[in-house]
Amino acid sequence: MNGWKFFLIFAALFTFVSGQLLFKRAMEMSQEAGFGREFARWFVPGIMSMTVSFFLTLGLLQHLDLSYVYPFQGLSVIIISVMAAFLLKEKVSLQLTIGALLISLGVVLVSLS
Amino acid sequence: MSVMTAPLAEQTKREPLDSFSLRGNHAHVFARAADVDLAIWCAAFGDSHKDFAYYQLIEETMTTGFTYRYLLLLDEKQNAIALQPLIIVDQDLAATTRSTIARAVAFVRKAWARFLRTRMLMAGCLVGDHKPGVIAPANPKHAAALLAEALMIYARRQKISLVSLKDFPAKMRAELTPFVRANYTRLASFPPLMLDLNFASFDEYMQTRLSRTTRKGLRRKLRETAESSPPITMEVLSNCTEVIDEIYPLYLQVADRAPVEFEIFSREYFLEAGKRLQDRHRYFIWRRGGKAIAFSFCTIWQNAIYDNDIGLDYAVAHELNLYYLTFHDLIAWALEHGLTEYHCAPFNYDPKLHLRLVPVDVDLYVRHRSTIINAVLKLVAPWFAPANSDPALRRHQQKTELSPWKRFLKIVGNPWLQIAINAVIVTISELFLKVGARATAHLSHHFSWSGVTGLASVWTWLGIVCVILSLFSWLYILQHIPLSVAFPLSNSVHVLVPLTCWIFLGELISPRRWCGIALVLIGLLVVAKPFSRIEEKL
Repeated sequence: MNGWKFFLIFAALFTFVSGQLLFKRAMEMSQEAGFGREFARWFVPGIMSMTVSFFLTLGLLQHLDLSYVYPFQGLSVIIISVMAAFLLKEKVSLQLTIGALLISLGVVLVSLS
Repeated sequence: MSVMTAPLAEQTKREPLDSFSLRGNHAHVFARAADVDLAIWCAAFGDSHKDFAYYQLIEETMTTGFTYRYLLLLDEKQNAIALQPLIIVDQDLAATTRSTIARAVAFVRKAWARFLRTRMLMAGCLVGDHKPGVIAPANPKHAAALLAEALMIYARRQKISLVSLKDFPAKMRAELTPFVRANYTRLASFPPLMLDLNFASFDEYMQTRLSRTTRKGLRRKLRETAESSPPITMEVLSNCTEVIDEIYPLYLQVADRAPVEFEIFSREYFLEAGKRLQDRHRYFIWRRGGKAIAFSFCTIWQNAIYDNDIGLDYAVAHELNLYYLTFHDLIAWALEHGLTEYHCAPFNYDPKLHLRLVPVDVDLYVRHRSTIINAVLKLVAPWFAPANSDPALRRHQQKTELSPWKRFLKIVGNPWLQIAINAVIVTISELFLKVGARATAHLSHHFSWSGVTGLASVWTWLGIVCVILSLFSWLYILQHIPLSVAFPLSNSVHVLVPLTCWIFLGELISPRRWCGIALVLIGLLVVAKPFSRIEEKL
C-alpha cells in the first residue's frame, strides 16, 4: 500500500513537471511561429499532463494528510530548475540553484506544519 | 584639397597619433581612415554602406570645420575590439532648438559669443546615423563600456569638454546601456525615415497606405506635373562629373533653405562619391526642356535605396510639385529594380509623414567632462533634444504616443509584474476554493468525497475562474521568462496562501511555518536579484 502511495505522489509530481516543461516549450514555439500547429503539438500534451496532475493531487489530498503531500510539491521547484537546464537548455547559475533550494526547503517547512 | 586616395607608400605609415591604455586594454587614435588596417575596417563596418571607402570619402571631401579621428580599441592580446570613427567639431548647441529658444540664445550671444558653443568630440558618422564598429567576437556591451571610457580619456587629452555619440539607432539601446551607466545623457535625435516597399506599384502604395485626402492631393499633383509641358524626363547616372555644375547649385538651393543648420556637402563630395563608389551611388536628374530642375543623390545598398540628398530648382519646384515627382519616380525605380526598402534623410517631416514614411528613431548621447556641468546638462538637455524641435515630428509622436489604455496594457504586460499578479490570482483562487469548501461542508451527497458538493457555492466557481485566469497569466510569463527563474518565483504563492489565511481567515501560523515563509522569501530574493539588473535596461 505504501508503495502505491509513493507511486501516486511521484506520478503527480512527474505529470506536473512535464506539464510545465511542455507549456514552456509551447510558448517558445508560439514566439517563433505563432499559435499554430507547432504550438498545439506541445500545448495539448501540456494541458493533458497538467489535468492528470491536478486530479492525482486532488485524489491524494482526499486520502492523505496535507502535510504529507505538499512537501513533495516543494521538490518540484528543484526538479523543474534542473529539468529546465537540461531539456530546455536554460542557463542555471549557482545563485539560481541556491535560491531554488531555499524556496524548496521553505515550502517543505510551510507545508509540514 | 587632396581628393585622391593616399598613395600606397604613404599607407604603410600606420603610426597612431595618440595611444593610451585603459583597464588593461589599449586605445589608438589614428588621423586618417587609411591608417587603420583594412581588415579591421571590414570586420567593423563591412556589412554597412558606411564602410572604409565611405569614411575616407568624407574625410577627404568634407574638410572645412571638421577634424577626423579613428579610435581603435584593442584587448590585452592586441586583438581588435572595436573601431569608432570620431569627429572633432566646433558645435553650436542651440542649432537645433525651437525658434523661441534660438532667439533667446542669440540674445545672450550678443554679450557672450561662446554661449552654448563648444568644441566637441563626436563619435559617429558625419552623414546620418551609424553604429559603433564592434569587431566579432567582442561583446558589444563590453566594447561600448570601453568606448564610453576611452572617449572621455581622449577628450581629456585633447582638452575637449563635451563628448557625444551622434545618431545611434534606438534599437541598439540595450547594447549601448554602458554609456548611460557612464553618465552620458540620451536624447532623441532627428530620425531618418523609411518605407517598406511591400507593394507592387506606386498606385498600390497610394491605395493601401495613404489617407484619402493625401491620396487625392498626391494624385492631383502627379497628374498636373505629368500634363505640364514641355514634359519632364529622368535620367540615372552613376558618375556626375559631367553634370556637377548643373546639379550642385540645385542642391545648394535646398540646403540653404533648410530650417535647421546642418552640414552642407562639398562639391567634391558629390563628385568623388560617384567616381570612387560607382557601384553604390546613383544620381537621379530630372530635366525639362534640357534644363536640370531636380536632382537626387542616392545610395543603393543590398535591397535598399537611401535617398540621401535632394536638389530642386525653386523657381519651378512648387509649380511642378517637384518633391512629389522625385519621390514617385524614385519609388517606381526602386520597385522596378527589385528593392524592398526606401530610406530617406531626416528633416521636412511634414510631407514625409503624410506620405506614411516611418521615422526610425535614433539617439544622441552626450556627456560633459565636468561632473557639475554634466549634472546640469542632464537636467536641461531634454529641452534641447533635436527631435523635439520639429513641430511635425512632435505632433506625430504625440499622435502615436500610447493612449492611457495602451500604456496600462504595457505596464501590465511586464512579465515580472505578471509573476506577482499571477501569485496574487493563485492565492485568491485558493482562498475562494477554501471558502467554498467551508460553505458547503454541511451538504451531504453521494459523491461528497469527490468534492463536487463544493460546486454548490458561488465561491467555488469564482475560484475556478481565478484558476483559469492564472493559467493564461502563467503562459504569458513563460513566453518571456525562463522556466527555471519563473517557477521558483511563482512559489511565492506558498508564502501568500498562509499569510492571507492568517490575515483574512484568522488561521494560526506555527513557528515552523514562519521559518518556512522566511526561507521562501530569502530564496525569492536570491533568485530575483540577478534579474533585477537585467530590468535596468528598460
